[in-house]
Amino acid sequence: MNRGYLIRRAIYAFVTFLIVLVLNFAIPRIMPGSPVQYFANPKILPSIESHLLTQRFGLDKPLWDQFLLYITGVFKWPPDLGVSYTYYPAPVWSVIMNYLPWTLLLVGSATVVTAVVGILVGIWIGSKQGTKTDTVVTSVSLFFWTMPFFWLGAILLWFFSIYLHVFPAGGAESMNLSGMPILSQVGDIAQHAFLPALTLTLAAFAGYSLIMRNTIVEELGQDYVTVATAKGLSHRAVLFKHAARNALLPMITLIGLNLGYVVSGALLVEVVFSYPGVGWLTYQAVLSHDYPLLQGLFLVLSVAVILANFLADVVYSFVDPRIK
Amino acid sequence: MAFMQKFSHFKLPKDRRVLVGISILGFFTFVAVFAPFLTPYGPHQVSGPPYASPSLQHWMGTDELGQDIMSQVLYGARISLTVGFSVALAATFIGSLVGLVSGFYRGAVDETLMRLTDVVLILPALPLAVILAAYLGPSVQTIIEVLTVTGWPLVARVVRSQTLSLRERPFVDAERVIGAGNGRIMFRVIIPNLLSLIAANAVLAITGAVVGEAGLDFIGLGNPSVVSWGTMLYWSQNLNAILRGAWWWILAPGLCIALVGLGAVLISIGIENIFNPRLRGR
Repeated sequence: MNRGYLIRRAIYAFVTFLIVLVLNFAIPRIMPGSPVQYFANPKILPSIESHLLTQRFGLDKPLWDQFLLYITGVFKWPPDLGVSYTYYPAPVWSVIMNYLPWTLLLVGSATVVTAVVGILVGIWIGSKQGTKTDTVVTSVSLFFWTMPFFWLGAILLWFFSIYLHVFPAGGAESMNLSGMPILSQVGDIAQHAFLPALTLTLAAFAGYSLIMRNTIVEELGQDYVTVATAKGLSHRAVLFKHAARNALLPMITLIGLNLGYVVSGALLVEVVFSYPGVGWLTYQAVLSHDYPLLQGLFLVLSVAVILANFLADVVYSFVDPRIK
Repeated sequence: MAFMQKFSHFKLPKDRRVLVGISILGFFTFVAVFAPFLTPYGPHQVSGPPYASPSLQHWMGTDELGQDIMSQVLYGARISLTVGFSVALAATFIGSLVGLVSGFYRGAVDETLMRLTDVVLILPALPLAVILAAYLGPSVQTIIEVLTVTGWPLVARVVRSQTLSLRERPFVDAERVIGAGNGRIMFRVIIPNLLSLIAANAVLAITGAVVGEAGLDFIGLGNPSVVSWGTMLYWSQNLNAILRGAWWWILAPGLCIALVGLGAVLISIGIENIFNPRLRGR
């Protein structure tokens, strides 16, 4: 671990966060229409509430005042991101926090499974470089990678839930779950999360496997591999104990890089499975033109991805002794 | 999807993939142009019973109003490909320009442009696209604009790194010695050397754009009365086609998107392989 490296990454993450803050503030204000109409629409909200919101965020004041009030709102605890139109009178922050856990569960589990599956597939086809297996598996991975996540989800949903009836057709948990023993509760939630997570894994594993494959191919061409083979080590030992170990490190940063992609995919997959996460919430917000909620969602999701990337940097600095 | 740069290392049969890719894109372009001659039904014409499964009259079945799915797939290719090609062009143009300027001037210009590039690259594209599209109103043009905004950074990154290396080459020094200005060096010397790379990335951008179009349409940010592969999926979701077991409504549009995407990726890998001799035979 190196302190200088971590401080640089922390500054980097913070600057990214600031840019997101500015984007989040600026986008609605450079668009046609007024901020009052977007964030305190008197036609949608009761007039007192609309008036209060206009006051609180200075929506009728000059841009600079608006920006200061916006920033003060964001840095409060809990952050004040305005009021949702659809879930009035609930504040945007608490609405998002109600839905976020399901998305975290989905994206979190899918990320872990995707990385493991992708890395294993990558080692496999990397060690078979140039063979028919390599060509076929690589092409199939590419095909899955170019599929729209949500479409793949729809096909899986149709096949497993509607045609075969082996998985629930949507939602995150069964109703009247509270009376059941804890183990069947967990089982029920896992059953509901299975298909959405499988969708994400199938659609995203190529993000790891293709790079892992290339790194393995590169490593297998290195001198130390020849030495290991010359020492009489088995192919298996050379592959897993030597080549794969060295190829694993870059995968950690890849998790962070792929995250934005997986989150975007997960949002749409949730819609297909009526999974009550922030993706489903985004869909509702789009349908009902809930601008305050959409802005809040962008901010929260962006911050989550920035934090996750920073986390990947931290982990990387611990496991790679070369980082100085 | 920074890893795309590494795709070029794959050992698939060498030029066959460009051929396959061009055939796929060519096929869909043909379909888009000649859609009216390939199907007896209009895309909005009610031509059969609702939710009819595939039959001789309706090869891909019908939707909830009894409109022919195949006609919609054929006509939908027009919008989906238009969006795909337009976004690829626009994003490549902006990305190349940013990458070129950034890599050529380096220093503070580079730092600023690349910070912005990284932000757009690292953020989840969908929420950003959603807030942009939500204000611009649902239309095909909105989708093209929004996808361009989220699509350029990848190209910028690739072009920048190549520009950084090209500007140090002897032939650039030679140009400078004979008195060439910055503009001439950038556009007459560096750009021609980057053309294959830019072409490879432009084709690759089609994949992202076609998939992105579908996603934005699907979540309700497109114009639902325009027929595209994305809006087909939007309606099928909205009317619970899957829960009704109407798999034929969703199967074709998604397969077309994935095939176009695959075709573009194959061409892109092929181009890089042909023009980059280091990669040959790997």
